[in-house]
This record gives sequence, structure tokens and C-alpha cells, in this order.
Amino acid sequence: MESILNNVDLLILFAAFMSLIATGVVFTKMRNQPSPHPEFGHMTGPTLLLVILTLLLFLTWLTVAVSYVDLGGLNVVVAMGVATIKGSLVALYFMHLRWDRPYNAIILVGSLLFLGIFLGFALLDTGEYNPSLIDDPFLKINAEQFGNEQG
Amino acid sequence: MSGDAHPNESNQHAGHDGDHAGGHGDGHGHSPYQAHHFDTMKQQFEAGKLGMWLFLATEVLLFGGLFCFYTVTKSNDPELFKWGHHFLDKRWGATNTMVLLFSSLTMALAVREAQLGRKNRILFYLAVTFLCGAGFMGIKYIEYSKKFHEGLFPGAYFVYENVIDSEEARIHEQEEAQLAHADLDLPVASVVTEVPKARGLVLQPATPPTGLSSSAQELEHGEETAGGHEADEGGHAPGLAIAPSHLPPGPRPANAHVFFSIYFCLTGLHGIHVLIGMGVMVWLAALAMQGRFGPGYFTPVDLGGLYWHLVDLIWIYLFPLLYLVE
Amino acid sequence: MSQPEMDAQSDSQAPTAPTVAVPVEAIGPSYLTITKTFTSWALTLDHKRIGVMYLIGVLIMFLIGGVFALLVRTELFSPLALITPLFADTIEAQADMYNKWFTTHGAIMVFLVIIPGVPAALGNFVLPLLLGAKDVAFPKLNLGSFYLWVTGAGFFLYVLFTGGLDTGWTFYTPYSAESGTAVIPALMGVFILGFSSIFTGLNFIVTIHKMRPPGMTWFKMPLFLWATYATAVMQVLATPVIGITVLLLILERTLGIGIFDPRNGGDPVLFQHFFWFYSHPAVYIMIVPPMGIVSELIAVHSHKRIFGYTYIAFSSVAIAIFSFLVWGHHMFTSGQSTTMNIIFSGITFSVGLPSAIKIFNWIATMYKGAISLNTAMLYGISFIFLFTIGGLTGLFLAVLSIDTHLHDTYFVVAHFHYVMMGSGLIAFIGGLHHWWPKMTGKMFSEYWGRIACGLVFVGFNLTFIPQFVMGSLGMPRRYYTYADKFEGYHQLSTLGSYVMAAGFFLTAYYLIQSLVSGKKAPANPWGGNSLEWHTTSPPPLLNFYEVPDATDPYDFENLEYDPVTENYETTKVG
Repeated sequence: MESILNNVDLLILFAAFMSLIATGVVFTKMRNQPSPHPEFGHMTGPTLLLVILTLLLFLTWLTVAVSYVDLGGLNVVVAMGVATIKGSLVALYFMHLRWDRPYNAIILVGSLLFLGIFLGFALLDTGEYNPSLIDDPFLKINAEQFGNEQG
Repeated sequence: MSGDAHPNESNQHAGHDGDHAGGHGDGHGHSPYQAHHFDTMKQQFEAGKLGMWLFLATEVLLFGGLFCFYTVTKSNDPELFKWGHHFLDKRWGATNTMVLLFSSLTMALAVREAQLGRKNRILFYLAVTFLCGAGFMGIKYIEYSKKFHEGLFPGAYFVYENVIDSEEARIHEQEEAQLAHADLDLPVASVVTEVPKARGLVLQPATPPTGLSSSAQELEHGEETAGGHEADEGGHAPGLAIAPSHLPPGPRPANAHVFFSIYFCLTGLHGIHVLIGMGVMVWLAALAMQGRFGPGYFTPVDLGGLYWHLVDLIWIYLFPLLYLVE
Repeated sequence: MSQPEMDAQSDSQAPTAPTVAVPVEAIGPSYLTITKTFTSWALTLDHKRIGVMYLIGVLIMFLIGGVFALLVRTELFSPLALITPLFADTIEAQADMYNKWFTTHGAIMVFLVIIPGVPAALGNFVLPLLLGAKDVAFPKLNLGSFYLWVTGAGFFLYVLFTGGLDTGWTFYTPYSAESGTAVIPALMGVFILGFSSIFTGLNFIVTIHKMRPPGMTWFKMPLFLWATYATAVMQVLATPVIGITVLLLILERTLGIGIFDPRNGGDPVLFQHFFWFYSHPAVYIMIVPPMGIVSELIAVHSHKRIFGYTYIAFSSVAIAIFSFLVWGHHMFTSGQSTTMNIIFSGITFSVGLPSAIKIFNWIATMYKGAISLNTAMLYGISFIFLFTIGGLTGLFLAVLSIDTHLHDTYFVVAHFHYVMMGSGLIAFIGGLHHWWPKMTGKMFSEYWGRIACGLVFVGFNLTFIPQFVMGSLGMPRRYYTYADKFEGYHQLSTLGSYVMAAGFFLTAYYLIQSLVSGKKAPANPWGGNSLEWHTTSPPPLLNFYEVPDATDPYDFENLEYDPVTENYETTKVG
């Protein structure tokens, strides 16, 4: 078990290739069949779903592989970028947003936007954390302008 | 369960009889699963979907608070994360990612089968999704039990002495390794191999903030072990909960417990949602066994699928943040 | 495009009068009388019954919260301890008692009365009627929301009986992490009430999106629906954050995770960020639905088309969006960075603009209108006056230099009571009177209604204007005693609170009396043209005998008052 896990990136790559093969198999089987339509809504074909899974597994391998390389600050950017691509694939295809009314996608993006506002403002605030007010640049300006009124 | 359709037979409108003067569809041709306040099944389905997406937005904001905890702590104290992430095994994390991605596929296939009304296949795919969820929780169990074994609990229950003892053992090993390379023809040098009085190489105050577990008070004991654990893998002194080789390279920060608070909060809340999702699978399977689903009515499976995909989506972000990023 | 031009355009698209005649006498039983068992109410899926149950619950909690307010005000009549010695012996225990009283007052009013108040109690009843629909989108979820509210109320009552809560309704750390009072049950109550609010908001968004009748485009909706929609968006996006905040606070108390309590390595200002990210949108959740009610009140009782419909509609949406960007104005003196202080202060100035636009539009609506000074209209006019004061004083607090002096003084207390109570609650009561005939089928006494409104208005101003003055003179809030120079102000304020209480008790009296012996209400006593007035009072179970086509809700041309039936009849039918 340990030895399999030690090469987990190879394991992921293996899974990705298996998924690719499954995609091909399903594609050839489904090629000549008519695609059914439900009364309402949209039906995703199994081929497309397997293609997306293959892409997701490849992207997972990519992000794990990159994590072994030290890129400094870029590591976070790459990891989050790949995660966003994976997330978009899941949202668009597995969660059907590609074929849905746009309002559903607006809800998801909107919630992420407001989350971004929350995180962004909180970071801006804690980013200026000063262990002591004596070093506060704004206090310095005041002291210069008005002399040592309050100190 | 938010957002699902309301089959007429379970609408207990007392005194509903006879009150059809209100422009009701007059009963012919509409599905038994259409609720009386909707005009068409399409309207009902789209309303259900919209409701479910709104609920997913609330889940995003709920987890968002925890992501804020992570982000603010990491930005204020990157050393904490550099130290802490060594305890997380990215092999298990990656395996969990694969398991959840695969389960997303089987869930999407289950939705497709529900649209086609093929009962046995619906049950099959739901079962596979359920098993993937169980596999995820199983791996979580393995990870958590290792952490608990090592005393890496969140907050006040974090057993600092396990880390401290392990660090001392590592220093001891390093010094012994140095001695082994030194020329030993000399008489026994007065190399100090005793444990230094100052606990470890911690640059911050050695005692964790007050208010934590009583282990903080008991730092004066020697190499006393924390609970008699048998020797783990790889050649460290018996009785140590954490293998010194397993320790991160740098010094232990004073707020080490906060890292594990973040870890357990994030993965714990996510794990609870996986369990809820597994419950949803069981409920959907029960409905499917009654033969309810077909091209005219598949809303519960679709909405359950959306929930499961969101759980996957959250993990897609959790995995790199906790396991991959330094 | 001017209003008359827009009307001409809409004239050609939709009829401005309903195409059905409302039966003079109800043909069958109403939603109230159709079934009478306990379970038919407890397990009802009818939005009207759920609304009525919410109303009763909210009014009961308002009574309890009000009693605590009177306790607080009575205690403050003198700098010496007046009633706390009845409950506690030492000065410290008396002060603790006082802390528990104002905390309970605040927590009950905020979480159990004002936030759910208009959306749950009135909105639930009126929303589907305004849409010509049979129910909300998810009736079972609606009932679930109600029972979540009841459970949350249960948790707060439990807190009352197990020693109370003394952290302030804002639960600031580190005190809330170490207080020995029943903090965790209160936090659980907040969590559960949060989900009640989320599910109500979710329900309303889907109902408004998916169940509008043909012909009712977004810009032909009554403005109350715009307000409800904007509120629901805020509820869905903001409330989960208070959910995770209270969960994390519970974990901080139990496990010491080290997020908010500095003793465990946490940051108390981070708690304030988490808390106010919800609680600021929450105060807009408290005020936007009442503003929607005021739009209806002013238009209907002035018998005049609302002025600037589009601006009022967009202002509700603008308030909803801006409300998420200003939470730091509660934290100016907390140690928040100067940069963030400046940013939040600036955006707070702009958030007052949409509200001001509404005020101007309402006044313009009243101009040259045929105003009937009914009780509901008097409450609507009170709103305009009191909200102007409340809003302007908010602007003073948005100025960083002024807030440094006024933060945590009675100035803030007076400001938020003007907006939450003087505006929010007043409009709630106005809406209650406006829709009382529709909900109960009974007319109340206008004579006593006007007197009670006067008592409430005078009492309210007498209570809170002295608080503005003493706040700016330095009287801190949440203090159980004070310097002698403030005594006069406190005494005026306490007197005012009793006058106000008298007004509320009088209101309760004549409203209950109307249930017993009030006149039977006609379908359209006030002359409104939105769809709820085109069904009987009270409505039948499925809301309409024949669903009317969507009309222009602000066109009052075709309504004629019939003094015999005291009903506004539609003159153009078909």
C-alpha cells in the first residue's frame, strides 16, 4: 500500500489514462446511437462526462506534480489556477451550468464575488496589523503637523 | 430538503377537496408529481434548480468563513503553515481527490439515468457514488486517527509535549549522528548530550499561550512519554507519539495548535457535508426504488447531484490549500 | 422616458384594471375557517396561515423584548440602582443583571423580531397574493422556516431561564469566549434562526423569479416585491457568515481553537469582521422590506401613482449590494487599519444615497395626492420623518473623526433605534394595519388607531432625542449608572418609553378588539390596485376565486369608493 501511495502522482496519471481509454470505448459505442432528449432540461452524454473526468484527473496530476517543484510564491498561484480550472469544469459540465439559464451561474459567481470581498477586506485590514501604534504612519503625520499634542 | 418538488400525494392540504375553483389545471394531463401551485412541470423543475443553486451559494459563504480563517492566519503567519503542512500526507489527499472526482462522474451519470428512467442503473450509480463517499470518509478516518495518535488535536487539546519530546529525540539523534562521524579516539569528550533546559530550538516563548491544556504546565518532565504507545515505524525511541523523522524541519511555532484548528475545522465541516451527501444518496435510492424517476420527473436526483458536486468543488479548493501549498 | 409616456406604452400591453369581478360576498370558506383543527394549523402548508403564525410569534417576542427594554429604561431613571437590587445584592451582581437585560433586549429584538418581522410575518402572507399565485415556491420549506424560528426562539427562552446572557447582542470576543453565562445556547439559537432566515429568503427569490403571472414583468411588480427580492438576496448571501461565525465561536469556547480569543492565539478584531459582515447587511434586511411597505402605503393612501418607480426599484437593489461593502463602519475604533477605516467611511457615505432617493420619491408621491390620513398612512408618514433623522445621524457616525467621539455612546443607540425601530418597526405596524382587513377580514377602529399612532410617535421621539443629546455629551452605552449631569435626559427618555409602551398596548387592545367585534372588511377598503385587493377579505384557501390578470399596481384611476359597502369598486371590468 505504502509503495503505491509513494508514487501517488503516477497513480493519478494511471487513473487519468484509464479514464481516457474508457472515454474512447464509450465514444465508439455511443457513436451510432441517437441522443435522447428529456421533456425539459438537458441530458449530458456519457462521452462528454468521461472527457471531463479525464481532464480533471490530468489536471489533478499536474497540480500534484507541480507541488513537488519549488516555485516560491508562484506555487500558490499555480495551485489556485489549476483548482479554478477544475472547479469551472465541474460547475459547467457536471453541474450543467453550460446549458442552464444564466441566472444559476450568476448566483454561483456572485457568491464567490462576495466571498472575495469578505476575504479581501479582511486581508487588507490584517495586512496592516501593527504590533504597536507608535509606528503607525498616520499617527506620525499627525504628530508632524500638529506638534506633540497628544504624543 | 430544500427545493424538491412536492408530489401531490404527500401534500396534506386539509380541506383541499372541492376547492378547485381557483383556476387549477383541472386535472387532466399533469404529472402526479406536479405541485398544485405550479403551472407546468418545467416551471417546477426550474424553480427547484434555482432554489438549489441559492442553497449552494449559502454553502459557499459558509465555507467561505473558514477559508477566511485560513487566509488571514496564513497571511499573518506563513511560518505556521510551513511548519504544519508537513504533517499532512499529500498522498492521501490526492487519493481523496481522485475518489471524489470519480464520484462526481458517477453522480452525473446517475442524473442521466434518472432522466432516462432506467431504475437499475440509477441505483447502480447512486451506490457507486455512495461507496466513493464512504471511501473518502475511510481515508479521512485513517488520516484523523494518525493525527489523534500523535496528539495533534485542534486548539486546547493539542498535545505540545508530543511535539516537544519528538523534537528533543531528533536533536538527540542528530548529536549522536555527529558523534558517530567524529573521531572517537579521544577520550570521551564532554559533549553535552543532555536535554537543554530551554525547550527545543523554539525562538518564541517556549510555553504555549495560557488557557491551553494542562500539558502546558507539565513541561518540566524529562523524556516522559505521552501515553505508552508502542514504537512506530522507523527507528525512534519507543514511547514517542510522533516519529522524529516525521517532524517538520523548522522550529515549532508557539501557536502550532492553530494550524490544526484550521485543518480540522475545514476538513471536518467538509466531512460532515460528505456524510450528509451520503445520506442524500440513500434517500434518492429509496425514491428510485419506487420507480418514480423518468423523463418527466427527475428533479430530486438532479438537485442531489448539484449538492454532491458542490462538495466535490469545495474539496477541489481544500486539497491544494491544505496539502499542496507551502 | 417620463412616467406618462411609460404608462401609455404599458397601456397597450396589459389591462390596467382586473378582468374579473371580485365577488361581494365570499363564495366559500376563507383560509381561516376552512379547517379548524390544531394539526391543520400546525402542519399547514398555506402561506397565509404560516404568516399568521409567524405574526403571533413575532408579536409575543416583541412583547418580551419590550419588557426588557422597559426594565432597562426604568433602571436608568436614576444613577442609583432602582430595580436591580430586587434581583441581586452586590453592586457587581446588579451591574451583571443590567448587562443581561440589555443583552436580552437586543438579541431578542434583532434576531427574533425585526429580522424575521416583515419578511416572515407580512411577506409570507402578501407575497403570493401580490403575484396572483396560489402559494410560495416551496411551501414545505416555508413551514420548515417557521419551525426553525420557533426552535431558535426556544433556545433564547432557554437562555432566559438558565441565567441569561451578558455579552451584548454583538457577542464580542474575548469576553464572549470566557463569559460564564449561557452563551452557547444563545449561539445555537442564532445559528438556527439564521437558517430560518436563509430558507425564507431562498423561497422568496424563487417565488418572485418563477411565479410571476403573465404580463407582470419585473418593472410592473409592486415595489414591495422589489424590496422583498433585494432583502432575500442579502439574506441568502450574508446569513451563512453569521452561521459559521457562531460555530467558530462555539468551538473557541469549547476547544480553544485560537481564532478569536487572543489567549489562544486568535484575533478579536477578526471576530468583529466576521460578525459585522453579516450584521451590517442584516440591518438592511431589517429596513428594506419596511421601505417596500412604505412605498405601498404612500401610494395607496395618497391615491396617486408612485413617483419614480424605477428609481425606487433600483435603489432597493443598490442598497442590497452596497450593504456588503460597509461593515467596517462598526469597527472604526476597534483597531482596524486606517486604510480600511477610510475605505469603509467613504463607501458608507454613498450607501445613504439610495435611501435618500426613496424619501424624495415618497414625498413627491404625496404631493398633490388625495391623501387619506388612515392609521396606516400615519405610520407611513411617521416613517418618512423618523427615517430622515435616523439616516442623517448615520451619516454623522460615518465621519471618522466624529465617530471617534460618538462610538459606543448613546448617540449610536439613538441612531439605530431611529432606523430599526422608528422606521423598521413603525413601517411593520403600518403594514400590519394596511393588510389587517385582508388578513383577518375585520376592520379596526381608526379613531383609536390614530391616537395610538400619536402616542407611539410622541413617545418614541421623547425617548430617543434626549439620547442623541446625551450621547454627544459623552454618555456611554451599556452602562448601568452614569454621571449626575445626564439624569434629566435619562428621565425624559424613560418617560418617553412609557408613553410609547402605552401606545403599543393600546394598539394591541384595539386590534384584538377588532377580531372580536370589528366590522366586516370589504375586499378593497383602502383603494389599492395590486392583486391582493382583488380578492375577498380574508382570501379563500387558494387565494383567488378567479385569478386576475396582472395589472398596473399603481394605477388608481378605475377605483371608485362606494360609501355603502365602504369598498373601492373597480369601475372598468373586462
